[in-house]
Amino acid sequence: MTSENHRTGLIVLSLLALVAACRGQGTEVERRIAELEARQNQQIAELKENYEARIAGLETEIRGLKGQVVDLGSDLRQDLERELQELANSGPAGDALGQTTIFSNVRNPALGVVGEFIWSGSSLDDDFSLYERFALRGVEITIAGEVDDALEYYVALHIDEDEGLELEEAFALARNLLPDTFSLKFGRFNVDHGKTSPLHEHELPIVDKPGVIQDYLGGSLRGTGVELHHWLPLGDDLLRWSLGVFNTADSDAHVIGGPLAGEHHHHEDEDLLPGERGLENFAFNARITAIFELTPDSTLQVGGSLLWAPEQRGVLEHDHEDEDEDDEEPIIRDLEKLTLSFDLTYRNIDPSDGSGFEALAEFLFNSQETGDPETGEVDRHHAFGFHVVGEYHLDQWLSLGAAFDWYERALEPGESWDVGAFVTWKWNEFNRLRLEGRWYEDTTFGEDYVLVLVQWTTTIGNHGHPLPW
Amino acid sequence: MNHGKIIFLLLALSALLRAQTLEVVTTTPDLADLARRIGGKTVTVESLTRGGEDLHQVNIRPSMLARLREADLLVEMGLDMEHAWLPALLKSARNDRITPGRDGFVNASVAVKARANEDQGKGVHQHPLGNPHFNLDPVAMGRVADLIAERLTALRPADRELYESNRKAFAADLDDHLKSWRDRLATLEGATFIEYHETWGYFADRFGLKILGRIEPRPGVAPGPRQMASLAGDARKAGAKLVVGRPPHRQDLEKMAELIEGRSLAIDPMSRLDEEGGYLGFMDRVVTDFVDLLKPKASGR
Repeated sequence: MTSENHRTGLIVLSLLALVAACRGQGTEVERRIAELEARQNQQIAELKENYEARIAGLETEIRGLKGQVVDLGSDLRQDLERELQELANSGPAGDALGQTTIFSNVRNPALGVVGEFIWSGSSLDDDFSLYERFALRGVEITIAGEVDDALEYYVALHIDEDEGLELEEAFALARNLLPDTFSLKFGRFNVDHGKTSPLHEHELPIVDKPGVIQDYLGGSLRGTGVELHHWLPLGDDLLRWSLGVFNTADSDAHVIGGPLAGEHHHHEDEDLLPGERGLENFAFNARITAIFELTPDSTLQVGGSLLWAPEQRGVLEHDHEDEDEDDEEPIIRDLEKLTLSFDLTYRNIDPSDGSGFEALAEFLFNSQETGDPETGEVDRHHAFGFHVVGEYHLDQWLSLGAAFDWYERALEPGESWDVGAFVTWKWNEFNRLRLEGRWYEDTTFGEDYVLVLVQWTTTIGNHGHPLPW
Repeated sequence: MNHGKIIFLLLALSALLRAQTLEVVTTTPDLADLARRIGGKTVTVESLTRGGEDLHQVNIRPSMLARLREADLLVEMGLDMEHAWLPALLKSARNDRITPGRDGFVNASVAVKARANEDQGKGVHQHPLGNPHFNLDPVAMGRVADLIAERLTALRPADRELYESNRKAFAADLDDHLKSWRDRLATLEGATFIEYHETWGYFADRFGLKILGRIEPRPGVAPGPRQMASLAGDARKAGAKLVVGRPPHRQDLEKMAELIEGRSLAIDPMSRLDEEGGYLGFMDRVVTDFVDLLKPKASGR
């Protein structure tokens, strides 16, 4: 019994001690909780104070920035807002973005018209009507545009009093179909031979193409065929070449003065000989040219061109219309024509006012066969000639210059030369007047003579600005 | 090491160096300066013109074709300003990166509300899309800078922060200058002047000046004595005392100045390649000239 009482007492004492211990621990937890609460409150107060200070700082900064904006000019801000509103309201631009017709006008062709009117007078005693007249040399209508991103087309029609309407050029130019800087031109067009021949007459610095170009190349050397072009940079300079193959080495000119005055064509497509043709019967042309940038205002271009026309047809004294009736008439097929040209062009123009100087010289060698259908005899003629044109620009509107031309006749013995001076006045971008005097040594009339020409060239509508090389 | 390896290494090195910077080509020095300021060291910039040219008759040079062939970004003024030479070069350059419609082609005028030509319909040499001389409005050029930054970012997203930072720095610099120019011209607000060609409209609008008329009777047409006398009569009535035009027209400017007993200012309407301070330096020079020459004659030239 006593031992049980002791055990019970010990248990009670232990419980009492445990309760006492638990009670002590609870007080400690409460104390710690109270401390944490106090610390939290303090941190919140600090954060609040800190944020309030930062907010106040930001408000001050915003007020300052607003003040600066006002200082920069409230009218400026109004201007900006107005212009932005105008941009947003600009109707036509937005309207244009939506196609409202069946055919889009994005690829519409550009149309241009160039008219050339020429008055001429001469020192010849008799009134040679060709030289005493006011003539419409021609009206050229150009239609040019893009078929798509890769293909462009160009058509030039020529209308004049003598020949009516004729097709000058009609070609397509493929740029992006070929890699690198290759491009392909195909159709009927002025062949890339020399500097002067490919130009249209209204683009010349003088009224007519030089006599040597007319005699050896027929004015504008023109062909129906295909021409491959390529250029590559040589540092800041440039090298360009082309290679063409053509059905014929045809040509076109509308000559006002000189031995070939009144000439329109040297070689007509109608003169094509009948029969099958191999590759050896086509005409070939190659050109290589380098353009050097001497100074920011001056360039020098050097070029060489070679035309090989194995079967040149226009010289045959042969009436093809009678061919069926007279099968016995002999035909000479393998006549050759080879023309080699070398050109030099120097240009130094001040772009601020258009003043400066430019000069062009072309040297040509022509080797050509002619045949007599009656006898079957073939003769080969060699001829050399050159021409030089210099033009001094007083400004972008007014220029004066001189031109000299000397050549051995391509198909007959003898030489011709002429020298001229000219003044050109552009009274605006679309109108140009030229006064030209030229002294011809011309065996046609058996005497020397002077020709005076006044040329008015006017452009309406689109006009191209191609690269000058 | 054989020659083949050396050539390969040189080509690789060249390609690496090229990849480090964007080749930017601009049509004018003004645009070149903006591109340099926005692009910083990530771009090499070349202007196709030098600043003294009549932009309608720029000499086409072979190096232009080479630059356009290499370019990653082309910035033009637009509004037909470069119509006589840039399209032909672009076609021949055959560079897809700068073809219109790509990120590498920037027509700066799209950032600007174009000013209608007052001479529209009076004759030849028109800009039917609007007056292209917006570089004389610094606010417009601020927007052009934004456009350049946007395109540079599109071409080189990794440098977005740099372009944004440079854009902001340029905008701040422009604002500072603008405030100064407005302050300097404020006393001359409403002052009237004569221009040779329709050029200075944006500048006049921005700074509260008035243009009485133009010496050219029609765009691109030289004035006759009657036109000069008639305009001089109007100028005397309106109190216009300044005639402004490009240096090649100095003779006509001086003649008109004599007729109105005023002064002439022969100045190109864009910065030059070697312009100190670039575009902002040029505008500073323009404002200084206008302030000096619009002031009463005793203190002017």
